[in-house]
Amino acid sequence: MNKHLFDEILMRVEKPARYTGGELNSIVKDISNVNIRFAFAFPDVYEVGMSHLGMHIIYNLLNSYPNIWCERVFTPWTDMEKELRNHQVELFTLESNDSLKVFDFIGFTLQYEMSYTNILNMLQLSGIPLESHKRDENYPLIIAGGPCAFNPEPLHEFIDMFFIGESEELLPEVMGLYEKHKKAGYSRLAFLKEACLIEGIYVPSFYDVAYDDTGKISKRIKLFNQAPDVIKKRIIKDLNKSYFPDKIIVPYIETVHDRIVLEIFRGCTRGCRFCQAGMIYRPVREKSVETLLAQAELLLDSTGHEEISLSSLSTGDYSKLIELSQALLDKYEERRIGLSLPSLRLDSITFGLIERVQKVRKSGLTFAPEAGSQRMRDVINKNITDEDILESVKTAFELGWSNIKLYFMVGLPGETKDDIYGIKEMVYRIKDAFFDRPRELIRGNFNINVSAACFVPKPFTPFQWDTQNTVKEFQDKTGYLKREIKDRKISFSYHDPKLSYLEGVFALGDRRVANGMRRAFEMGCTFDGWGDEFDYDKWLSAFKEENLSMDFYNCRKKAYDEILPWDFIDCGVRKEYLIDEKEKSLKGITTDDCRVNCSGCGVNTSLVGGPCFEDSL
Amino acid sequence: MKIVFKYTKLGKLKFISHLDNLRVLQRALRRTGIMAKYSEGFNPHPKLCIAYPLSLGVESIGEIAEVEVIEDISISEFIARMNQCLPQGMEITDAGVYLGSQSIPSMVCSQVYRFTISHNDQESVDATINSLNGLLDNDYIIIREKKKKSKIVKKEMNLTSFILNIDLLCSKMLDVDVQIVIHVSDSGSLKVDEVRDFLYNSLNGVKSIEIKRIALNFIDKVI
Repeated sequence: MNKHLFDEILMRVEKPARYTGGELNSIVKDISNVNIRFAFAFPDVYEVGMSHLGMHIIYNLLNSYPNIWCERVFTPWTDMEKELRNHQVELFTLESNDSLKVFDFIGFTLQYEMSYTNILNMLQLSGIPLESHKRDENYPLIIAGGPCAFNPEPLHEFIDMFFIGESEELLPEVMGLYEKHKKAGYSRLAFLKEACLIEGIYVPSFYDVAYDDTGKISKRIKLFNQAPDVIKKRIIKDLNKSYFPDKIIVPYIETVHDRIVLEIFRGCTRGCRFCQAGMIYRPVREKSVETLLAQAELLLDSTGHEEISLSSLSTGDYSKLIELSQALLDKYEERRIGLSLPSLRLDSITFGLIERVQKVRKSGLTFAPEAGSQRMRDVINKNITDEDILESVKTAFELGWSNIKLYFMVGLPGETKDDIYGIKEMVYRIKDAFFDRPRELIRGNFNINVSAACFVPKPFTPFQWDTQNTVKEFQDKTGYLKREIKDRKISFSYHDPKLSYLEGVFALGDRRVANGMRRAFEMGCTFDGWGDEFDYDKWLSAFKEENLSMDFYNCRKKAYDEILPWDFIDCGVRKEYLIDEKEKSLKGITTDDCRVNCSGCGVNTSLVGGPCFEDSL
Repeated sequence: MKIVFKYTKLGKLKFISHLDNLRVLQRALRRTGIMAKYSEGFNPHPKLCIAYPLSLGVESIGEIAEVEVIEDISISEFIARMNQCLPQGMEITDAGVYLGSQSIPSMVCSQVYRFTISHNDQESVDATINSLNGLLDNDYIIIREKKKKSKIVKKEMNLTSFILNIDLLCSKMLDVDVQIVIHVSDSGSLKVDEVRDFLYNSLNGVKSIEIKRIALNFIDKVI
């Protein structure tokens, strides 16, 4: 694209710096010195994509190889999309401004089901055929990974190969194989045939699926004999030894998370039954304090960020949290570098730490009770009591907070009206706890933000066989809460039931929903996750035109022996364990944290090759 | 110690807004390790301010900003360390210790721009050069719309009364470079887009206009 036109377009769009690149620590290479050009594609806008730690890891990992140049591309916002289409300019990467078409690989990260139409849009904007079978050696290989790749089937037609699990080791292996093929004269099919033998790689075109008269999957058929029957997820054994960048790109414009994200461990031991991340990221693996301090220093020096966020699925569970936090504060307090500790439990142990953290930089406070009643929390294995929550908020009030957020879910399996009412009761008890204190201690403008998400059953959780609530049921429940929670000091918001319903369809969908997705995209659906852009009616007519029932996927109780679309993936957790957990949830029986008592999910034998923890039996 | 510095904003950096520009400078300052004075409150920030906002899409070789540092550092070291940490297109070209008490933004009195006017033909170039002297003779009323709550308030302004000078710098092929000085007063100033539209409307055969800020003038010495 010529510079003049580029400038002209940029002057007309919102936030032009989304498309200019050239940020500090971004990497530009000489294409005559590289063999593989890789475009890391994030199917959402720049500000969202740049906040994602995984992108920074992969970007720098690939660029650490002299023969590979990894660049970035994000979904252009609707204004920019119009400009590109009007001027017939193909979607380009930020580093070289070259069209995606010239790349060897385009790698999409699948963080959220409702970003799928953006993937189709990005391919179309690049002049690349959407369907895998329409692409030959002249087109890039379209690959994808991330949490949603654990049910890859809804995207099977569009993606050439999926990466299941963690990619820090897998990606370089595949790049090595590709380079070998490229040197010997590249054939797409020959490459895919060899790549699918690598553990963690799934090539959907090597399989077909048969269905019975009720529409359920009857069997999977292999179209290439050597392709594996089961795709086993990949993990990094030792996070201390795995690749981590020493510098990350510093965006010019404000992003969603404008801070250093320090990943302190992967996995989670809590075993909440609704949580997919808690299952698919097993086993728990911690980074050492020494590793983290060294990584923090490199990142702070190379970015100039003013805040470090300790990231994980449950920060309070990091075994050396106090030691790490104290060390970071000792080192950086003077430079006003704040520490953010998401999902931390407030108790006597953390009280002093939080008091100190708040002196540098104040942060918001969020609690996630997830459900309002004790009964429901036992069903979902969220092992906290009303008293735990009340003690925590009281501690927070003592520390000077007057503004807190609370997250709940509605539509959980077996939910009754009492469980919904429990949400209101808990919120009001928290309000009372704030005001039931001596008057001289009450400070600040008290406010509770209550947010309710609509529960979506996810693959590889004990609730994968459950039905989701209908849009009507969700609306009744959120409407009920909206009527019940009437207080100037409490604001209540909830997720769009229609969006959550559609998310359920794609989370639990099989190969056939791909047609509904393509049809909806053709009708103009993109950026579905962005409230204003979401058009549910279009989705309904797209599914109708393709003769697809949404309810078949998310609103139908499935038997334990039904073949689920993602059953061919081995995430390390055994199906028997998930069934066991589902049965326990029906009886309201909880399961211990696996640090306390191994729950026998199978990950220790299938992936770890021994106990998950050094100190476990 | 307060330091006032002059810097450039060139190339891709012209697409960065005022607030983002501020963040870029603050982060660069952090990377230098130079200890700055911080604001109080909820979310402390280094005390750094930019003298006058620059419109999105306009390059500049004369931006001015002020920072308060709490360590003893020589001006040459400040410039060297900052320039090592600034992104490409942003470079400090001059700096000095500021001893005055008045804040830098309140002292701005005019902004100097260079407009490069590209023409379709030589005839239009000659016409432009000839008409420059008389360009400010007549009033040129522009109407600004402002949303105040639900109402739209219209305000009329005479654009030419805000332009202090138009000077011919040079003419090369079909391009004519003029320097325009725009007054900054308590009641505001002009936007470069308004001046650009004024030129488009007042001149003939203009193909495109490129704008660069050259300098800011102050009521007293700041560097």
